[in-house]
Amino acid sequence: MKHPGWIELDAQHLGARDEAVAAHVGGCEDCRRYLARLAEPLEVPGWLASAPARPRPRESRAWWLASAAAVALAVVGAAVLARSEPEVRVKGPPAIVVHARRGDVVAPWDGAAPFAAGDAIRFEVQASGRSQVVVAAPSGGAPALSRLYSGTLADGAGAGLLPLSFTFDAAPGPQAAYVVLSRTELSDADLGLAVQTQRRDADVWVVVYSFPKREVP
Amino acid sequence: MSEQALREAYQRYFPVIWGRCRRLLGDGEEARDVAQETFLKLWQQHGAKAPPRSAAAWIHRTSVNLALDRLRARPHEVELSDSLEASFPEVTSVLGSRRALATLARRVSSEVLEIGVLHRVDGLTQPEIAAVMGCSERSIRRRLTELDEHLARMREELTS
Repeated sequence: MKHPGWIELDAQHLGARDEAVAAHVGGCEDCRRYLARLAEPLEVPGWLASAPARPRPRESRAWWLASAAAVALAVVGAAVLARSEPEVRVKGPPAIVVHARRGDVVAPWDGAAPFAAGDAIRFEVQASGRSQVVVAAPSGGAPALSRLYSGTLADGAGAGLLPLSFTFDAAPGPQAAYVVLSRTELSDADLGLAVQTQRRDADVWVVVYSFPKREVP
Repeated sequence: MSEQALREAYQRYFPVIWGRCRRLLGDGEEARDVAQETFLKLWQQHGAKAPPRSAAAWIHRTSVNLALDRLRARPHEVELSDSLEASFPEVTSVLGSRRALATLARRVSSEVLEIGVLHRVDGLTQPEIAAVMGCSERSIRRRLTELDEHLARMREELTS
């Protein structure tokens, strides 16, 4: 018996009405079981609370509230950009805060403290009117950059905590990373060029990080 | 759009996304991260009202791209499912599968590898892939041939 493809079955779960697929599912216990699993109710996870709302944005609930209630949340500006930008219409230049999680402790990164394997960071972005954000790292191949995160900031002013954290591995040496803010989505080529030239203008703003790592004896 | 709409979208789409990510990356942390990122992208781009078939195709494409991005960036950390590793036996049987797939991911374009995964892991036919990708069957054939050529070259290099 030839089963429908995953996409056909998933589309059926999402409400597609394909008679051939429905007929197959009616006579196939495996496919019925798969669809029944998809229909099981899910427990809503904590991270959903930080999802940007559509279409009117809500302020994101901070990620660290759930994981480190004991941490003081005096978020001070760290790794904040300072170049003036007259073309930007919203609240001055972009700014980025790097929140570092070491064990159960979360605090803004001071721009110098090294990271150990397993430590994680999360970016909080004030993009000053730019709605797109990409977090990238050198790939060592082609294309030269690997997109670790790519998304739209829900807030019209371009602000928010990015939904993902990034965990450091045990590889030696500093970890380079780039945060690229832009008004429109960038192709791989445009992203690469922007990073290469460290572009900072009204449309695109690149921030380069080199996160030091603690040397393992 | 209310929190209720977000919860409904989660109940509706996340099981599909999670199933897809597990098929690519197994049950580990990496799969959970990719699933979360895929859902958030879906929510941001389509909200709760994407047409069923295009939503399913979008989920398959986006999750595989995010998974491959991670494989390129962090080849030694990314967990892979058995089915993904088994789908590229030309190279994974010769070299450690994760390393081989990471090398492959760096050599071929995202599009070619994405088509390869849709074909080999998901078992989609060329016409189905063409529909999902929004391009011609001829274009799909050409890219699968390109992938096969890369795999053949890699196998030669690995065994020589």
